Order: sequence, then structure tokens, then C-alpha cells
Amino acid sequence: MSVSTIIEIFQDILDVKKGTVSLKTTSSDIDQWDSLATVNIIAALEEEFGIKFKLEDIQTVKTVQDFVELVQAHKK
Amino acid sequence: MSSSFKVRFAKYSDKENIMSFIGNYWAKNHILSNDQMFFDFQYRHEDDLQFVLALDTTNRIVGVLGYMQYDPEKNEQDIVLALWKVIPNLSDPVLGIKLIKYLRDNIKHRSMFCVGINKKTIGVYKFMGFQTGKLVHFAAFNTECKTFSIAIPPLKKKFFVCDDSWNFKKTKSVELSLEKLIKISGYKEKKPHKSKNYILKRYVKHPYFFYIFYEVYEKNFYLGLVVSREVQYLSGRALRIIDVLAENNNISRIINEFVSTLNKSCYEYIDVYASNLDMYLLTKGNYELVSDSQKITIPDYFSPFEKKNIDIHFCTTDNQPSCFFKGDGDQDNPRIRRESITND
Repeated sequence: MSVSTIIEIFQDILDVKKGTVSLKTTSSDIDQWDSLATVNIIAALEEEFGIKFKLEDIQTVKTVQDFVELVQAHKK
Repeated sequence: MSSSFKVRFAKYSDKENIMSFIGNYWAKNHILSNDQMFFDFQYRHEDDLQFVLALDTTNRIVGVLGYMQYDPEKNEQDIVLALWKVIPNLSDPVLGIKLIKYLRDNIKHRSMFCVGINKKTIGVYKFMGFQTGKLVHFAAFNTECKTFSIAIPPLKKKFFVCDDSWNFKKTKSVELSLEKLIKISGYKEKKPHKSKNYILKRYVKHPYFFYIFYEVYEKNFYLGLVVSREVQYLSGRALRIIDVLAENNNISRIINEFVSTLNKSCYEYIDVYASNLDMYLLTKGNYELVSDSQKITIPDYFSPFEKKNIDIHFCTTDNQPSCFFKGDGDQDNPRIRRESITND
């Protein structure tokens, strides 16, 4: 699993320039990052890593780092 | 990690703040931001408001989810979602989802649905386990009408084939009619199920829209009610079927036969938006399919008037097909406050 791939997914879906998203980025940093964008990010992560998230999984995510940890937990 | 936002049901004392939120973040001049009477009509239930709120640490509203209960007396009721908005740039990227989850977890219900969802949000609803679809739009055109101001009709209009054993009686005694309706066993099982009180409030006591009710009889046997509303643009008038209160398996036949009311009327057409209708029966019968048509135009917006076809999407937690209409949820309502609204 590559962290840079996850960051690229965020940048693509949020439609922001390269370098805008880091592991510390939260939804309050980017206008376009709302529930809809989150679901699109989740769908892209599921497809990229062959995993499946549940609604409960995303209740506490706040930062990009949280998503990385979520992917890692599902890959185990 | 605990959330820095609190989610709870609204109290009546939250009304002013919710109305301000709608004006600031949903749509300036929206009727729900400036018409207290209409706001109460739509969202007040006893001493509560049918809203779930998200608040920040200063108790400022940062998200709202409106809903309506079709039969609050029952645990097995159907709930329809309405206005849903969370402000941007919050530190919780799934707060909008949490509002719906809170409602699902904290109010007893049989099904939850929404008619009129934004196409962009379909993915969110699917992720939450909702089924999604589109209401199908049909219209029947008056063969005696020479000039069409509202619609663009097909080049060749159908001549209606109606069964004489059907009768549609215009009625103002809606309460009496509903007493008959709720005794029909198939109506009790209907999904979604609207209680008598909900129907009376929604269609008879509406503060701005005037609905026209027709009792439906087949061979003198009472089948239910058609709820309709007249719309007007320039010199043109049309009749819209807003709801059909009957057993689901009779609804397509009722709609097909209802065109008999067009004869000798001043209406250009009758139209209906609904899900789970018998498309074969209606298109082989008296109706044209408007959805996805390049040749027929039946507007949905009348204030301001927009001469174009509009898709209405829906979502539902129910795996079984349900019969939704334009009258479900908050779809058939004015968007801007006016002194007297007869059209929208």
C-alpha cells in the first residue's frame, strides 16, 4: 500500500493541485471536501486496494492520515 | 477520537436559528427562511421540529436534516427525508452522513426515503445502503386542445380509450373519503403509508397550494383518491396528478383511466411523476412517456416558469418496490414566499 497513491486519490477527487494534500490535511482545509467527496474518496480507495468499508468505519475519520490507517487496517 | 460536533433532534426553540441557517446556507429568500407559518406547517410536530441538527462547540448550527413522519403514532412508520445541508470547511468530513445515521438510529421506522435527491448525492445514499432510482414522468394530452402554451406535445396525439365502468367524482369531503380509504386492507399494507392525519394536513390544509380531489370508482366500487393540482402559464392550464391514494396494484389503472377527466376540460394535458408504475399499461394506454423524451416537453417548474423536462431522483431503504409520487416529501411546495400562490 502506497501513501502517495492515497494522497493522489485525494488530490484527484478534491480537484486540488499536487502538494495541497498532506497526511495532516483535514476537511476544514479544503472547501470541496464534504460528505459527498468523502464517499467518492472511499469508493476510489475501495477500488484501488480491493477492500470494502462500512458506514461505521468512517465515523471517526478526520485527516488523510486517518484514511491511511483505515486502509492499512482493512489490508491486514 | 470524539467529534467536536454535537448531533441532536431540534426543539421548537431552535426555529429561528434553523430558518436563518436555511437563508444563509441553502437559498437566500427560500420560503423556509422567511415564512414562519409555512415553516411550522412543514416541520412542526407537536412541540418539536422535525429536524436533526449538527452544532459546533459554541452551539452554532452547522448542519440540518429535515424529515417528515407519515404516521408518528406507529413504530412501523415511513419517514421521508427533506432539506439536508452541512456547511463547508468543517473538520468532520462525514457530518452530513452522521445526520442521517442519527435519524436512522434514534427514531423507530419501517422505511426511510427521499424524493427529489440531488443527482450528485446518489453515491452518498448508496454508500449508506439506500436503493436509488428516478420517478418516471408520463403525460396525456388533450386531443381537443389546439394551442399549447405550457407543453410541447408529441406531433400525433393519442385518442383516449376509457372504460365506462370507471367514474371520477370531484369531492371536497376528503375526510369522509379517507375514512373509506383506510378501511381498504391493501391500503393499510401500502408502502409508503400515509396516515389520515398526514394526508389531511399535507393536502387539505396546505397554506398555499389548492389541491383538487377525485374519488375513484370502478363499477361503483370505491378504490381511493386522486390528488391533483392545477398549474397555469400564460393562457395555458394543465392538471398535475400529485398523488394517488389507493392500493399500489390499482394505481396504474387509475392513472390510465383518469384521462377521462380531460375530455371537455380546459387543460392542455395531465401529467404524473411516480415510481413503480406499469409502464407498458400506461404507454400502450393513454399516456406518453416524458422521461428521456427529446420530442415532448412537460415543465416541472412554474415559478419561475422553465420550459424543460426535469428528472426527479429518489432513494429508499426499502428493498421492495415502492410507489412514490411528486407529492411525497417536500417536492410539491412553493420555493419562494408570495402573498397568494396558486401555481409553482
